[in-house]
Amino acid sequence: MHLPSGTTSPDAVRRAGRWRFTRTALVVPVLLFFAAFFLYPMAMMVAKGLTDTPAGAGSWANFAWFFDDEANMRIYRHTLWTALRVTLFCVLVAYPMAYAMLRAKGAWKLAILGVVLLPFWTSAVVRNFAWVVILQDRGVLNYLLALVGIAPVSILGTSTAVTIGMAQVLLPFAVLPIYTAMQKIDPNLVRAALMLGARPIVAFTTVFLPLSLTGVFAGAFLVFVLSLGFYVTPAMLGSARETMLPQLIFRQIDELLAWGHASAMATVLLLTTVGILVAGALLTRTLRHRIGGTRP
Amino acid sequence: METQRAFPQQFARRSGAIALYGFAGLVAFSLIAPLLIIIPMSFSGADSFAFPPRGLSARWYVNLFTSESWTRGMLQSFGIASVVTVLSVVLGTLAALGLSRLKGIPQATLSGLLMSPMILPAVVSGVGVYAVFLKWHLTASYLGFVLAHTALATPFVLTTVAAALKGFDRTLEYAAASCGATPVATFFHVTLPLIRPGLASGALFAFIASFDEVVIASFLGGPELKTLPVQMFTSVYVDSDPTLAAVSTVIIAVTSLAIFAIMRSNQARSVGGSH
Repeated sequence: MHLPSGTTSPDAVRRAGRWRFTRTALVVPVLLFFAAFFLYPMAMMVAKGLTDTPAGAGSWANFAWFFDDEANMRIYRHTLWTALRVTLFCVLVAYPMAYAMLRAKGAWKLAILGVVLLPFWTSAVVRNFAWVVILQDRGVLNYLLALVGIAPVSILGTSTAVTIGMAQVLLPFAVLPIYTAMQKIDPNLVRAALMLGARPIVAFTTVFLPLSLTGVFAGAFLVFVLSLGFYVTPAMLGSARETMLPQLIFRQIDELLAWGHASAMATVLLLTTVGILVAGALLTRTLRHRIGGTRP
Repeated sequence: METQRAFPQQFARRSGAIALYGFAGLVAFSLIAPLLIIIPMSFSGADSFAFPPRGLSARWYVNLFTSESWTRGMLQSFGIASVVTVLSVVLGTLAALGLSRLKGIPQATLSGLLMSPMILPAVVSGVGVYAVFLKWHLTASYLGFVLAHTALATPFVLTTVAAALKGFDRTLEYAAASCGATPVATFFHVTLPLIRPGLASGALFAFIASFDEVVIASFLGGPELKTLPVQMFTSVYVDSDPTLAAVSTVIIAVTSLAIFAIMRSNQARSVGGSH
């Protein structure tokens, strides 16, 4: 509170104080809405996974079914593996993009930002459909390849197609944290290294890169966690072999009405997501403490 | 500021800079080009997505605006997304105002909680929402869609408005209060005009979050209630109907116009504000 003394009456100060209290209370209706239409349903889902079991089976029957079935485990592993691949791809593309954004000036900086944010503004179904048009066997890519005399490739339905489609959507979630971390780096540190005779590549790898790592990790964890929940992209660009956990959960309900199985799997997905988020937050915080070096 | 500007020149020489911007341009191209490809496809005379499109026709647009299932899907999605936008703008702004006065752990906990729909898989909350809404008789109903989508869309408004409030001079509110303005008057005459750019982009994000949602919409939908993205999703799966390219082109055009309008109005405001 920095009230300019002398210019405000005590009454106004009291009113401002009361307003501050009321203002915090504004969050209550939102919390109630969330409790009713988001948290309560999720709690019911977790409960269903434990209670919606075949007669005579224990509470863990649905979870045991999930973890004992090799087909399920294959999909679970494939989900994690896809998320990892998308994360690596995103970080590798995002790092130079963020650096280009840092270097660019004025309108160029805004243009790069606008392009990077494009996926936020465009429909996911439309974007995936565009990849179908490009990557299908008689698509744009093979048409262009034929023009230069290269044999057609079959990408639609493979993990490459899924990775490309997902990475395109998730790129901004990697670029923005990396850019934010780069922006905070004190340029004098790099300058000092250069003035002390370090070659540019050495100054980059020993000073700039470590200092930007907090952003890299923050972005990587975010992309990884968001990848785990993808449904539309693997369904549109992948094949049956590319099935991910969200599709399996959806099918259990939509086709089999297996509420117990679906709820148990959704709980596993929820716990995996939250676990990785917490691990990511802890790691990023440790890194930030250990590295420091940001602008005063 | 000046030191920051001097900084980038340090690492690389000219060749490095060319490589960097070349790479950025390539990535930008791969983000934009796929969307532009759809536009010629939508005017194709052929009955498939095959490239290059053969012939020129507007029949997919005719189909889009005359087929009952497509027009109904568009209207339903538009209606639901509009109501969701209004509700989540109100809820998200309330939450951002409330959270802006909190600090430390309570603030982090509450905002983490309210942001969670943005990060958690939609299928996770979707299973729960479907189960609960079946009990409450909210499936295959507009109300059910609106409630479920508002929970997903509110965090988008919360983030953008919270960001707008961060760069906001609080003494302006104290000044209004000391001049005798009620909190409500202060909000509408002082706070709201200043956070309007954040509010506008939050509203657009909220609209898209609902308009584009597939998973929960597939759970909650019924034979009479099938939103546009679900329709599109099943259409690409089941048949290669080029009407899909026409819908996509319409969506791209409308979203671009909305973004353009919001940017224009924000720009006009910031110019007007400096006078």
